[in-house]
This record gives sequence, structure tokens and C-alpha cells, in this order.
Amino acid sequence: MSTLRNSRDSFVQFLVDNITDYEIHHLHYDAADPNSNIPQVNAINVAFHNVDTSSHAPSTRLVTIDVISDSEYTADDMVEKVAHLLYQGAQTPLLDYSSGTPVSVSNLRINWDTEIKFRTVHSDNYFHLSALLHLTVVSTY
Amino acid sequence: MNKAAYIIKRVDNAFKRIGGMSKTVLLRTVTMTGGFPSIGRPGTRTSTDKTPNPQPVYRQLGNHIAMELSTAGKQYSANDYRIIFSPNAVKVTDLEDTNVCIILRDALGAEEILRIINVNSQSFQGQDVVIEVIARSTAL
Repeated sequence: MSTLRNSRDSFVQFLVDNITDYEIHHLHYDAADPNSNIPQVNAINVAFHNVDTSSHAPSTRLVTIDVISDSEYTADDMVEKVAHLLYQGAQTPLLDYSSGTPVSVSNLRINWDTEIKFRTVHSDNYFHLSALLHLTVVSTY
Repeated sequence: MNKAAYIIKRVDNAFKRIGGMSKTVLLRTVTMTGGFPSIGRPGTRTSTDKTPNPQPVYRQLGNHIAMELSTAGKQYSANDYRIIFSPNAVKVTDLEDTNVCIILRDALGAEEILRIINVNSQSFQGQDVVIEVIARSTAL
């Protein structure tokens, strides 16, 4: 399986495994599931964007984390939960989920910046905070 | 028979008079269990189709929008549809389920998947007598 797919799977599953109080909603296009690319209220929405590749790192990818809640207070709790998790270590192993059981991809891990800025996005219907992250797949050597 | 039931019966009769539309309308429920559904790798993905009876009536709204080529030799166009269901065929709650989408299937078996944009029911004396759905083609 490709490193890009593995990095997506590993990061989303890292959030799902470690944030159990709130729902993680992975936005993605899937013809068989046309609602899967619609943001969800009262959830932590994760979406993947630009991909940069270079000889120095296998890949770098932009990810947005959008906390959307119908309560501003709950949104604050959700942001704190996400930020606290992402500050810890700021990395997770690159795993391959293609066989149905996660298998470690040797010598590769995902890193991200620990400076995470959540900015408000105006909405009349809910409270929305959005953060942008760079995920980088790096060698553990 | 109360008045609402009488209206529903008239609606059903109207659908039957109009007869079959050019495509069969289906409600598809996709459920994912086990495994890692958040990353699109569930243990099991189940797709269940329900054929509403009576079949609803529908019409396209607005102009067609040309989309990508589906295959090297075929291009689809996106459109919105207004679909009118009888409450005897589906319930509003069926259509509000986020795992549900609408399928238009032609005589050759080709399917167009529609995302439900809006559900609006017309009620009489507290009972739904007609359900109107606006659905958007994903053109796949």
C-alpha cells in the first residue's frame, strides 16, 4: 500500500484510538457513500489536502482539523482534547491497514508541528474552529 | 378512513396513474461494521436496496452540468432532482438516515447515485401525506 494512503489511515486511526469522548469524522470522497465528504456537527472533522514530495522526505501532506459543535463550550473541550493529544510526542508510527490488521511499516513514522493554531470560522448554525497541520512521513533512522 | 389516509390513498393512485418513470428509484443503505470504518476499511460493508412501493415520481431541476468522463467514451452530467414519495413507500426518518442515498437505476442496470439534500413533508392533521425530496446527482 502507498505511503500516502498509509499516512492518511495511520493519522485518522491515531485520532480515533486516542480520542474516544468525541466522534472523529474523516471527510473523503467515496462514490458508494456520498455523505462521507460532508462535515459533521458535534464531531472532529479531518480532511486531507495538498501533497508535497521531495527527496528529503517521502511525503508531506496538509491536513485540516475542523472542530464543529452546536455548543461553544463543548467546542473548547474538543479543541483542548485534540491539542493535548497532538502535543504529546507529535508523532505516530506509519501503519499499513490494508490487510485488515495494522502492520508497522518499518523505519517510517509520521511527524507534525506542535504549534497548532485553531482559528474560528464563522457560522450562524454552529461554532467552528479550524486548524491546519503538515504531516510529514520521515525515516526513523 | 380518516381524511389524511384518504389523501394518501389519492396520492398513491395518482402515482399509479402516472405509471413507471424512466428509471427505478431505490433507497440504498450502506452500513460498515467491524474493522476500521473511519478509514474506509470496515470488516464488513453491507449495501441494502429497498424499492419503494408505490414508486415515487421525479423530475430534474435546472440545467444539466457537464461533468468528468466516467469512462473514456462516456460523460455524465450532474443534476438535481425533485422526488415525491408516498408515505406508504418511505418514512421521513428513512430519508434522514445519513447512511441512506437514493439510486436511479435505468433499464440496463446502470445506476446514478443521488445525495439527499433536503427532505420536506406535507402534513395534514398531523400525518405526512406526501414527502418531497431534493436530491443531487453524484453522477457516478
